[in-house]
Amino acid sequence: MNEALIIAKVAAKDSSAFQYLYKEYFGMICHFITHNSGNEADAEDVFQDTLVLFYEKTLAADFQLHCSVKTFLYAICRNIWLKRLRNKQLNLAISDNEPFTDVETDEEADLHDGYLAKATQALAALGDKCRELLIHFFYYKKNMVQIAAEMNYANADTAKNQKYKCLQQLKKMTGNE
Amino acid sequence: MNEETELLILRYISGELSVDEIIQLKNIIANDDSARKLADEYLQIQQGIIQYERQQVKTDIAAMLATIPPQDIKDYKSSIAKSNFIHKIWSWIKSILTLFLVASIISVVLIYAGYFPIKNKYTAIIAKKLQHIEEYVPKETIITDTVFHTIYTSDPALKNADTIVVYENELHGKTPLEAIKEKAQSK
Repeated sequence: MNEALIIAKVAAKDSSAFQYLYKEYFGMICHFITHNSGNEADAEDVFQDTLVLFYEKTLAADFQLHCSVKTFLYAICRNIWLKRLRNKQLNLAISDNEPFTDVETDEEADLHDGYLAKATQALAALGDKCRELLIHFFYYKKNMVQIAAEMNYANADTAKNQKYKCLQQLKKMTGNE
Repeated sequence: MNEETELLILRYISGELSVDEIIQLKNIIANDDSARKLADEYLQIQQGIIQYERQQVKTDIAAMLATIPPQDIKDYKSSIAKSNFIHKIWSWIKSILTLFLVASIISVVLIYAGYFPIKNKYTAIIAKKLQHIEEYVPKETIITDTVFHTIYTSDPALKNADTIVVYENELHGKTPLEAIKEKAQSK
């Protein structure tokens, strides 16, 4: 499979492209992870995250690959794994010399640590149409004209107003109104 | 905080604000804690939406890959295995050279500071022997009146730095120099 075709298929979320990449490059990623303090389960997880990021990159209209897919995947995977190792080492380095109690010391820290998970949970409970609209806009970076056409809104402005309403509804559901 | 500010925040997280409007919003946030908190909450919501879908995509990809048997995964051979080997050898050489350098520096420092154990060992032996000589050899038996003479001769039997010893009973009325010359010629 040539590289342009791989990119096109990945962008279209075609399973054959992801399966091809897994067969070709999982061995390489697994070797890297297992030789750097990880195990095969870590390798599976990192490889899936790598493919998700690769997929997200291919969604951008101006995406151009300036190296081989293999090199690109290896670089993403390496970054993900190094970040995880860094996080692990930070945790290991913590040595309490007093009994530790997990409490938030101020409102702002509470907002940052807990709100993301709350927002994700609220989104799962949001109406299908609202969720779809917000995902199209924020994750897939589609413009309001595209969204209006795909979701049968009268026009882009209607879709935009609906998006604001959905965001406000989501905010209410997170319980911080 | 009014609805206008909330709309401004909603438009901000949607990337719909002009530069002037961004500056206006920044000023509002800087002076209004509730506006700052609201902007923060909407940014977290935006991140929550991205995380939610990212997790969905990951689940979909995992399902696609789950059907592939392990034997279908291509065997991997590192493309930098050889250079790794050379790198390892070079690392060893560098480590050994560094070790020698460090050991040399430490040895020199120890020798000059007088802490080098081998030096101490031999110094102690010599000191002990000198003490033995001083204690057990009567001083009057040591003849200190030794005279050295350098003579010049073309005699091929003699070599440079040869030592000629003349005892007192060999003088027979001659001066030590005459006795040495005579003995050198007879050698």
